[in-house]
Amino acid sequence: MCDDTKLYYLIDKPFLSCQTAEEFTQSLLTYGAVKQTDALKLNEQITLGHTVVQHMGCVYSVNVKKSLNEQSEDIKIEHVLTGPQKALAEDLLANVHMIRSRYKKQELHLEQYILGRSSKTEVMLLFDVQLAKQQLLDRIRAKLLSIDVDILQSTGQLEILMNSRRFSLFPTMLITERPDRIVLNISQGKIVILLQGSPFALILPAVFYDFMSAMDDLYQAYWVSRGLIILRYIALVLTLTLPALYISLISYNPELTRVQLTMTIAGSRAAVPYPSYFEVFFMLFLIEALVEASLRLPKFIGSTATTVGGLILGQAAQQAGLVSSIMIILTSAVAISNFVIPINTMSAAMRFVKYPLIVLAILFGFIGTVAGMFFLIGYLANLRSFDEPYLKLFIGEQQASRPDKSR
Amino acid sequence: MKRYFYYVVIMCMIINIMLNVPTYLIEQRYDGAVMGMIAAVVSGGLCAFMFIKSLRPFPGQGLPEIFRTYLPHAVRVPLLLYLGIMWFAAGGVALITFSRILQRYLDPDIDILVLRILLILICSILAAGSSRSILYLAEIIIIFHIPLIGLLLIKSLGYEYMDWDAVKVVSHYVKNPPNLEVVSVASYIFTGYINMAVFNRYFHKEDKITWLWIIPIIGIGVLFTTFFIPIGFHGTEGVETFIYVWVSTADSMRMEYGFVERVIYMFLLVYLSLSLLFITVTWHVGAELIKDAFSKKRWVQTAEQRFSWKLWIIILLLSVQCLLTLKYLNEKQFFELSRQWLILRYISEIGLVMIVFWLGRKASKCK
Repeated sequence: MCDDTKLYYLIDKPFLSCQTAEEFTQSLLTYGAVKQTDALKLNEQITLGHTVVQHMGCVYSVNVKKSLNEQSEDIKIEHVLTGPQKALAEDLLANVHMIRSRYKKQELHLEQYILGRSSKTEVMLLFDVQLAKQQLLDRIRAKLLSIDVDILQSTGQLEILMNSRRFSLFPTMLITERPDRIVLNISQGKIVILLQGSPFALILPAVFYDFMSAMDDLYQAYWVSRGLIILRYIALVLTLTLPALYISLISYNPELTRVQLTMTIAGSRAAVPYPSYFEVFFMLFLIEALVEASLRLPKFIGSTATTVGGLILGQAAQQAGLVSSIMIILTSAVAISNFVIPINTMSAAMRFVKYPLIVLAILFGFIGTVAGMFFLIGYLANLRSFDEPYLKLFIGEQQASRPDKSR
Repeated sequence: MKRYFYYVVIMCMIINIMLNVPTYLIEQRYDGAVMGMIAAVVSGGLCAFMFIKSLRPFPGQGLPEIFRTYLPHAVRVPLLLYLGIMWFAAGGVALITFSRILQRYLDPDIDILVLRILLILICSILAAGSSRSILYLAEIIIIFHIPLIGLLLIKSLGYEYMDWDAVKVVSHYVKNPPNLEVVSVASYIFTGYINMAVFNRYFHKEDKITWLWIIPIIGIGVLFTTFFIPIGFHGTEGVETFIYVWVSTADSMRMEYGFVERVIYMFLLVYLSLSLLFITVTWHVGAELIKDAFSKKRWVQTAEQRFSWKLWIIILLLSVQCLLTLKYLNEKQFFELSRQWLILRYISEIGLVMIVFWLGRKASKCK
């Protein structure tokens, strides 16, 4: 774990060049050595990457830890067209440096915690002391101190640990890899948690709109970004309701649309021998499996999987009379719309939510779909992210928490 | 915060169709319905004005807290229980009527009991949440559905089969004096303000409700469209033959260029969300009132209550009651019952406004 050059410059070189023993002690202390009196603590120090030096009857420990992955990588998940292109690094100090150099107010505060019994992961709390709410800070501090876990390795794991609900579906904290989003959120009085060894940051509190906003919204012309936001919400509604609406339309009220359209749909379903919900489940299972597979596969095979799955299988399934061609269009519309949601955790939650809606549609048709959407809105309105209302219209009146309100 | 007041008011105005208000009004179109509606505008507007004015000395307090301060225990508990059940009945009437409409016009094969259980479950779980969340929900639902309702109204006013002569004929009967039934049925439009009984807990001194005069103005518009559009579509005599007169009116229209051609589907699905919202709001208010009648401690504004088991149990118990009584009533008897309920509601609403007015005077004198 030790860095050889550090070891050489901090210990070997002074040891050889010093004239007296006192001078070497002096030089050790200058390089940040700490005098250790408790022999039991030494093991712990060594596992943290320190070097222990016994000199003149005293024991010192010097931090010579080799830091890996200091280089920030290219953005992998939250792409933007124009805007910063580098994501966070895996090293905590490098990340703090990156944020510090983007946010130069002296009110930026850092607090360090060590979490995990075995992993002893360093966790850093970043906030603007002027803007962050004291009450919220106290709650988060208490929460961090109460976490008892053996191994802590990722930001997502920390999010689940911070979330006091046992069965959670919707993310109430935002995971991001973009330094510009972190800085923007700090400037809005939010609190950021960084983790050693993870290139993601946790931002809290986060409300529904935060998950639907991309950083591009800030970097583009007003009408362009507004148009894109509206597009995103339409896509959200489509990905949630299309399968449920299809089932309701086919199995309950085919007379809802005009005759021509109904006839087209019925015609394309002519070869399909079973009820509509079977078709929906069949295609949705395939597309979910495809998404999951292309995520796990190495990059180079991933594109093959999508081609085979998407093009060939879809075409063949329709020709074999297993599913209607309308259903193929619908499935791809659902999948594409789902990827429009900018933050991955929210898009995963929405991927799940469409299934309860499908079940309601199977049982009650349009009534079930509309009632299910009503319940979803009510449920989201009932959620709180650290006492901030999760879903609420005109959120700007309380606090500008959307990125498109830069101050 | 204060804009949420208007969402609740607007919700009650739009929902009148689900409480059979137009049907009862149209029954009496030759004997005083028009005059009764004008009287209802005056009485409803006055009540709203008095109620909101009298609540002003009590910022951040709902009716249960006010009653706790000023009324003796023996009066407070029965009064709260009675009010809670009245509120509950409002949601219940909407639930029963609307589930019948859904079964008749959308899914004739569905088991109505199962449908009612679904609606009850959805509404009761949401109604057991915090008052704030329900107001947020109301805002979202109202804002997204108002344009659709507006489209429906504009469409029907300019529709080719709308017969304005029939409207003129009925409006000539304006001189006939109204009876209590017409006034109380028509005044339901204005009753949204009364939900402030609980929601006032979240309205503080700075949330002074202004623009109260807009309530009677919108109310006149809503009342006259809800009454005259069916008459224009079905004629002065023919309109009487429909039970759910507005559903039939919506079914008389078609949108030539719309994705959904028959307006009735848009109408039913829009009203489904609105009815669910109405049931949620009324049941929440009712359950809060009943809960406070039994609780020993005074309600305090805590951080945020999320989901309250007590509320949920109260709502479930009462809705089971609602399903059971329904078993012994057919549609016609239920129609009569809900008519009687609307009259009783009007009388108790005026009574409640008087009590709050008296308490408000008392409170401002003490200061």
